[in-house]
Amino acid sequence: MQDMNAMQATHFLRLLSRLKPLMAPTLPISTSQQTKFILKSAYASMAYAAGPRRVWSRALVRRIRRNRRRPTMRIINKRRHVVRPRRRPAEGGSEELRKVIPGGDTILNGARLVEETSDYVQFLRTQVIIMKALVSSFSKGQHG
Amino acid sequence: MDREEFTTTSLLDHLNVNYVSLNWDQPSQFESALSSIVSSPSNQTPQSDNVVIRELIGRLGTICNSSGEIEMSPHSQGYNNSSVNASSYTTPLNSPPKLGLSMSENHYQSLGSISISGNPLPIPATGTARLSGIVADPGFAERSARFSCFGGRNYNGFPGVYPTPPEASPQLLQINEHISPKGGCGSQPNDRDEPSVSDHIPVISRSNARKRKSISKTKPNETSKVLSGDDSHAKNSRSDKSKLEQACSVLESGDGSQERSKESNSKTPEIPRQDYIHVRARRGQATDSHSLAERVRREKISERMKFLQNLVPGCKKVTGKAVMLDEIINYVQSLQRQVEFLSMKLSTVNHRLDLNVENLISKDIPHSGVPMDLSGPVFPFSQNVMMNGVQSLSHCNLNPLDAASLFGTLWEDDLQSVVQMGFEQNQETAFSSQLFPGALPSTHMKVEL
Repeated sequence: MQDMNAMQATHFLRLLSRLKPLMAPTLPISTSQQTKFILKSAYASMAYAAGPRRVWSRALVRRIRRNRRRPTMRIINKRRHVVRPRRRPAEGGSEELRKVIPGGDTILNGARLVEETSDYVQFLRTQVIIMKALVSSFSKGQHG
Repeated sequence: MDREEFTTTSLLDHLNVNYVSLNWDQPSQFESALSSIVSSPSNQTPQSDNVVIRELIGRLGTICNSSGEIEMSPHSQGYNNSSVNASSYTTPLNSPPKLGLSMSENHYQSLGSISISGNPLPIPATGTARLSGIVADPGFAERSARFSCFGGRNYNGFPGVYPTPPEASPQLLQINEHISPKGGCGSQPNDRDEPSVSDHIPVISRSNARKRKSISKTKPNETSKVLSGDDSHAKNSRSDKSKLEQACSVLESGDGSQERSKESNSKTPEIPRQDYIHVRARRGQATDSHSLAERVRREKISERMKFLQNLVPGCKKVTGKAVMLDEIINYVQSLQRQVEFLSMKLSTVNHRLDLNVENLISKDIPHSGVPMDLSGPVFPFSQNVMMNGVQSLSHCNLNPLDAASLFGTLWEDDLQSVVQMGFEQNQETAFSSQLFPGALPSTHMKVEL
């Protein structure tokens, strides 16, 4: 039961640890880039912990990958990029929710959407707690 | 009066007998509880026998409840609540529909997530969930009323994963069999009991009908996933609920509901054998197939919404789908913003601290919880782990390799490579200085993985 949290936490830490070898003075990284990296690794560890069974985790991975592609690719494949599955999802007042949840617009079933939402919320909460703990531990380590 | 006295004393006898025969973990707790139970009927009046008996049942339920909780997890309520929130989701079916009747929030979350947690049998969790969920409500009358409904006749009980429930159920069975001849007495309850009982029983029966429909409905939809693992579980739960309905019919005054529950009881053994959905139309509802299916669908959605409501803080009081949806959306957006903000904070902190992240990575996952100020999943690593010892960078480098070998799945490799590649890409775009040749960094990093 705690395994999910543990997986998420350790994966996140593992991803964060990759920052360190690249923080040598020969390769300085700007703060914004580091922030982006940390953000993406946060989502990546969330998606990792959730597993490929979830629509939102797959969409998150896709989103991360998409950002990583070269910007020029987007122009070349503009057509392909635009042509996304434009199914007409069953709305039921959940249009806004679909926008927020990654991959939500591909979910047709309303019940499935709510399920994914609850799952996503749980992993998000976990992630927030992990990061808060990390921040507090680092700041404690600094002052303590 | 004689009959009532007889049943009370036989009840106590049974209690004593069963107490002796049980092997519960914490006898002290039960001793105190049972002594309280035994002592309570001593000052009874003939008129309040019903109440007393219901109280007894309720308190027995607390014993079962507490033992059930002990069996499930050794932590306290809050910890349990928080620790299992982010537990794994095995199949989509396992998550909300397995949740029992309407419960108090704590029990709801803890037990719902226990059933989710991917333990071998979700049904024992559900069963004890029902037990404890029923009991957890404030007010003895409600609890005992539910309990008396719950026992029924041939209570199939649990598949016996946990030692306590199978032992608990025959007790309840016996007690309720004693109660059942008193079914007539139940029709003249006290003023105090009447409104709550009659309020809750229709809720229970309807929610049971709902759950039964939802489970039976999902069967044809997800046969491959569900039937393999959950067939017997679904059957058990369905039979449980049918017994609940049946017993509730004893207390309920309406005729139609009695007929309904009896019919449903006869119907339940047939459901698993048939392929199509058995949905029972409620009184005063259209029996159109379309409306039935729609109702089932709506009920499924509302079930999951309820679960979501418990997750999102401050959503319980709000009634109405639109407002709740707005709340949920706001919450999700706020969480996302929090993640963003925290990542910024983390990057600034790391800049200063030179990233002692390798301290935090440990192979073993310690199971001690961290008292966080947030309500939510509790974390396996403690502050001590963070502060302790410096692991070398080599150890840190080992980890990705081990990770790659341990998790052979494409999923994790994908993720790791994605992030790694991405970071490399970032660097390339940022610094046009060609420190590494183009294709090499990604492959190089992958090897390192």
